[in-house]
Amino acid sequence: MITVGIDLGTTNSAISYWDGEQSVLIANSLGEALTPSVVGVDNSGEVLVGKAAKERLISHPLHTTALFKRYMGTQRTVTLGKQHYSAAELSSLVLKSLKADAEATLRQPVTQAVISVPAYFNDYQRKATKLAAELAGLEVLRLINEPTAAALAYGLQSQEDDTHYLILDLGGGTFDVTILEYFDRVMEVKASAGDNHLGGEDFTGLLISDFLRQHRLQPQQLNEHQQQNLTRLIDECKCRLSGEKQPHFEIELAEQTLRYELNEEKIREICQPLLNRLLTPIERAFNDAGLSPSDIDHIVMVGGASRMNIYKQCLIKALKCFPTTQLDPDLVVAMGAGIQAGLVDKNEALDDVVLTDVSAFSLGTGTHNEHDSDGKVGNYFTPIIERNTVLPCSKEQVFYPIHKAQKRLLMTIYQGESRYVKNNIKLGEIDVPLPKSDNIDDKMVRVRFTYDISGLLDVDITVEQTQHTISQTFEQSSSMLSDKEKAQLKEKMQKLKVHPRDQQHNRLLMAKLERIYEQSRAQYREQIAELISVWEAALASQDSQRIEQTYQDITQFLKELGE
Amino acid sequence: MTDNPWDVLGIEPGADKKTIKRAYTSKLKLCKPDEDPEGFQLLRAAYDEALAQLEEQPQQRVKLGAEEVPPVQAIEQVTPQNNPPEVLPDITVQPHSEPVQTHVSAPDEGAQEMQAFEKELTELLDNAYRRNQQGAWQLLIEHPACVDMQNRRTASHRVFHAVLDFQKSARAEVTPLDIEILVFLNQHFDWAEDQALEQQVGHPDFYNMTHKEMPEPEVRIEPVGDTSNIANLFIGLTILCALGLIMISL
Repeated sequence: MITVGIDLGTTNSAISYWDGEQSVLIANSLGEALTPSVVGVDNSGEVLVGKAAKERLISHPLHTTALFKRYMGTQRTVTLGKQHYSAAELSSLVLKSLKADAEATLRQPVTQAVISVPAYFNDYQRKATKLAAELAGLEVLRLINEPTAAALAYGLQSQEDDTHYLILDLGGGTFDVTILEYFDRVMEVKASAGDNHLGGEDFTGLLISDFLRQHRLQPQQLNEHQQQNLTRLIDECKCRLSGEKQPHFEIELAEQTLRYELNEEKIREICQPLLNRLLTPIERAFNDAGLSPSDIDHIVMVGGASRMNIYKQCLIKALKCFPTTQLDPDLVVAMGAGIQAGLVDKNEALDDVVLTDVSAFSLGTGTHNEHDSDGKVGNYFTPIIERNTVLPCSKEQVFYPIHKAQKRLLMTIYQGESRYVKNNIKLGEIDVPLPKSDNIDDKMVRVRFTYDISGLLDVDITVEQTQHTISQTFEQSSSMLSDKEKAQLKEKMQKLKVHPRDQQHNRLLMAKLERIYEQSRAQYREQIAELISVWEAALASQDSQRIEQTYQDITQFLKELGE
Repeated sequence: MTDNPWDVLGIEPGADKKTIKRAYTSKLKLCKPDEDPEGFQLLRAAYDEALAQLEEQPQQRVKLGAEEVPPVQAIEQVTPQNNPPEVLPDITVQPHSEPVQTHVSAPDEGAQEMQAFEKELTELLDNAYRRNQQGAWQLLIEHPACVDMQNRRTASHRVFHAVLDFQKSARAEVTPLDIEILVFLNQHFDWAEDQALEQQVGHPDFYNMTHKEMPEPEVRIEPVGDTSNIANLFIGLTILCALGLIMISL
């Protein structure tokens, strides 16, 4: 049984495995390592995942969705056609597609996986990721933090000893900072910090606002098609900026042809507020690790957004050092997840490699705030396990009730960094009965938090006088739902027909034609419409030779068009 | 941590950092965190303790500004009744007030940048018009001294103290800074997380500087400068007038 490593990204996902010597990426049915994290439903109700779905974002925006990783662990749902889906359900479809790719390549069933998540993913987001895997028929052996996975990939390939890495992961939706030390085949994460809402998509978002401002348009004036089209064009323009000086595009909106130009200076001006936000988590990571920028030997850039020049320049200015991108920033996390999969499987080649990680956030309880007379800011957050504590760990603290006559004590459990509990995430609460006594010392309770590497938080509360202990496990696995609810969800997902894997490239061609039809001007539209009907007829004939021939012809034609 | 860390690591007390690390990593392979969590925690505690002893022992490094940071030995017990957690001093505080400049390339350059930065900061606070504009602060935090990671903490502290002094002195003759500015600076510099600052200025001042939150907007204000609605109105009126004129002339 092979365990796979999966990078379930905001914009793209990838899957890999440990072949005994190294981490190997598994290509999808189109022969590509990256599968866009896009899900759609077509007219017949069949589910499409990946590149074909991505093409359909423009032609069928109401039946296609992307960027759902951002809503992991929230109640928010997306409507595709007639059905509503949560982020976990949509992610499960991506995972299912990756799983099918792996099973086709490895020629054996795949049921166990290591999945990477942003280090800053909170409890609910981790739970949702595990649920997604479960719905896809995968058992999660370990969740690995994305920057840690990237560090594994880099650390393992370099032979230098005693090195410090600063790993900066700017993905589609999140920014993660990790400081890692490599010494004697031991990889030790020193500190992790991050911004959960800062990624490449935010840069695109600011550029879209700028476009609308420039052409005096309100976002409400655009329909779904136009919004998706604009997003795609702006995103492409942003990407072209790493090769061209002044990329531009034209788009037909509101019965006019609107032009938009971009250059380094302009994007820097527009995105400066985002660039400023990069430094805060970097500083926090340095402070927590007790290191300074001069201690760092290598700066590793991860994530597709690393290609942006303004981002690189901002980092060089701040750190006075040039970053490395030896490994493909889009694939390095998946490669690292594959290594972790090998580690979990106790592969011989990795026998002496040890990875120690830290808790990226603090865990603690709410305590009385006597400064808060008007009840505005609420209770204080008292951390019991501080962030960046090496895992696994177990910590104990002593608490007293506020009044000596108190009969019960309500212990709340929170995760986060704010000094006030109201800004942190509540994981649960425990009601502790106190012994009868007028002496407050008799009512002292010991609270022990134990946090293990597989993401389980145990809370033990002992009343000192009676030695009575209350234990509660806050399972981070998908325990938010009851077994019955899970079974229902599984059934719902199983009912969905997924488009056959071996016909992905045919589906992609159709989606592409539809997208080009949507984007092109009137004079081309007829031609494209013609192609679509030819292609539909070929597919309907079910004559594989004819399909193959038509496929070649159309692809050739599109190539000449520059698509 | 009742065990002697040196026994756990299997080395002589007072060994150098490299030896400690080597002992830790070789033992680590026998009690990996996922296989033997208890063993790992014992080893890790010993390792941290050995490193801490190494730090304390030879050179007594805490000299400058030591009087501000009372060394605390006993582990404080948190009693929510009379002891807010904020006053828990960090046991291993380094004198943060003046971070040691370990800048490799050009220390002079850093110092000059910092001087220029402080000058800009003072000017901004003195300027009654600009100091309440977020854009002006935005520009200030883009100053090289603030962007350079080596200096950033120093810069952050300078801004904190300058703003605190301003807020305290203000009140009577000039109004203090807008809450938006404080919220913006807090977000950027993450002051609420900075325990050194709390120790420098004490709880009440620190609380006043960091607990600020944006008030909930009661009425949604239309963005200033967006005149398209008014423009549409004008166009409409003009057309109406024109139509009226045509009607009359007919």
